[in-house]
Amino acid sequence: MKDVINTHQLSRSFGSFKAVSDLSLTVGKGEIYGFIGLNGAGKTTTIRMLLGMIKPDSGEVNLFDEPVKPGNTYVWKRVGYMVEAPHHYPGLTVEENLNIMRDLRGIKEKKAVETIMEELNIAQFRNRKAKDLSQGNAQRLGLAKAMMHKPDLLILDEPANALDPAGIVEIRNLLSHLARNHGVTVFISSHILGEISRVASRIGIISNGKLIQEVTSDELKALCRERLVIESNDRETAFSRLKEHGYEVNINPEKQLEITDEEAIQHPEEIARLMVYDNVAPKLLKVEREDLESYFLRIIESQKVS
Amino acid sequence: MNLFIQSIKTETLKLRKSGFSKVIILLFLFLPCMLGLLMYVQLHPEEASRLGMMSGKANMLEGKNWSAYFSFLKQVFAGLGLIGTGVSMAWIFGREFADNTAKDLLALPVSRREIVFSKLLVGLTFGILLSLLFLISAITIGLLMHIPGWQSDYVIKELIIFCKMMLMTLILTPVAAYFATKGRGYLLAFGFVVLTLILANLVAFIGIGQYFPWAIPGLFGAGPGGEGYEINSASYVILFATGIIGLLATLKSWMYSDHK
Repeated sequence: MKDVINTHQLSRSFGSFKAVSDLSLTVGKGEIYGFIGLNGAGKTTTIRMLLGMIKPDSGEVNLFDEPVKPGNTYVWKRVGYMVEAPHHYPGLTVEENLNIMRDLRGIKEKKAVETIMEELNIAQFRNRKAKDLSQGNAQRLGLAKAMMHKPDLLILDEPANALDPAGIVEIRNLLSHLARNHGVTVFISSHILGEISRVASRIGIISNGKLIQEVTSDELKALCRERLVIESNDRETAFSRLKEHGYEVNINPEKQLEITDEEAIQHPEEIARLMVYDNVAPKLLKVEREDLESYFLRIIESQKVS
Repeated sequence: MNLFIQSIKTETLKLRKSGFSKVIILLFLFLPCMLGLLMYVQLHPEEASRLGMMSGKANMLEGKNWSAYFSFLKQVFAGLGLIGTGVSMAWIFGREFADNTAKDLLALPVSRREIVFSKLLVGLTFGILLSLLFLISAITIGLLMHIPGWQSDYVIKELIIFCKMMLMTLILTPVAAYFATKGRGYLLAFGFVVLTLILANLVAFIGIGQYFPWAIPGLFGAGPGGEGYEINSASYVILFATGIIGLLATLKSWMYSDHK
């Protein structure tokens, strides 16, 4: 797969604070790369370096095999972006804001503004001034500005912010459609980890400026732990009986019993049978898979410990 | 080139649709009216006192003819021009940071250099339009009041002086653009413009105004006024150097500085 984004040993400090350290990553054509990390982990600094807004202290950024540097404006024809919260010219209407972006991007297609307004459901607000838009619609306008020229690479910082649940699903579907059917590469950062896990084909976790893990969505499924959660009316007896049967049992913060034993997860009916025989019949028995959020917190926590 | 033209077009739209441009146009229309009012008091003192107007203020005009009128007009423009054109340039650059829209201009097919030049071009054009608006309004008001002493040769000479003053003032505006960029908003630049006006008056008062860029247009407009009040060739060098430094600093700031 040809690299659309390629960073090599990217580092940037602000005074004594090392915002990004030796970050090397590659993103291929048609991939949706989820970039996650805690606040201050270095996500936005990385995105700004990708877009040439901040100079790295060392290392390099290449987009479409072209180095990102002042004067190399050719590459931006193929890139659409939205950094942090979207901002627009407050006194101009939605349509005027989009017209400005169309002109600055040199888009010749006259219907480009109309098409993107329809696509992002903001056509009914075309004459509304940007300052009068709701946060959700301002977000849609930001996405419209990023997508209007049909870029090959979309770099989006928190695109789901301020969107309602229907809007989140809509944007998720749109990004998946663009990646799957048009080969658009999407680099997306978000703190809504559930959203990232649904849409991303690969995920990078950044902590303290370092890329600490990269996983594909399939690998993530394998890495996310499973556990058997059990509830019983007589928790203490159930706990001791299961221990007697040789299972490693824990009590979780919700005061439920948890077993991570592979055999028990594969055959929960065996646990149910044992508990019934021991007169501590379960009232709840379910296999839960760790989600990206729990996985992310576990990885971050393990980084802190090490 | 096409993108540069598009960039000029968008900058024009942004300025045209802003509340700022309307307010500053009103200011440049209001001051000639005030100027006309003072001349009216000078021309009709008895009527003015009947209406309760302060005739003392009108004594700032040293006569009742076009010569006095133009002299006062240039004095007013020395201050108003500095403030109006400087603040306009500061606003054109600073609003991108105040409205957080600068980041949308940094990774586009149109280069940052073209963005800076289109902003400068629109700012300079707006400055010229404001200056001409001021001049035309003042002359129209003067004609309506039938100020005596209109001589075409003299008026043309004064118009040429006014236009040179205007160009000198505009040469300095890239410095305001730099402060707006460096200050990431227009407040620092607005403060800087006001400070230059205060300093221009101060250094002109103590007789070294010909070496202070922001005092030079005013001294030029005032004409020969004795030792320490006349501009010389060094003044022109200082004026142009200041403008060029302002331009280069603004370009450098947009093209190479971090945009966090």
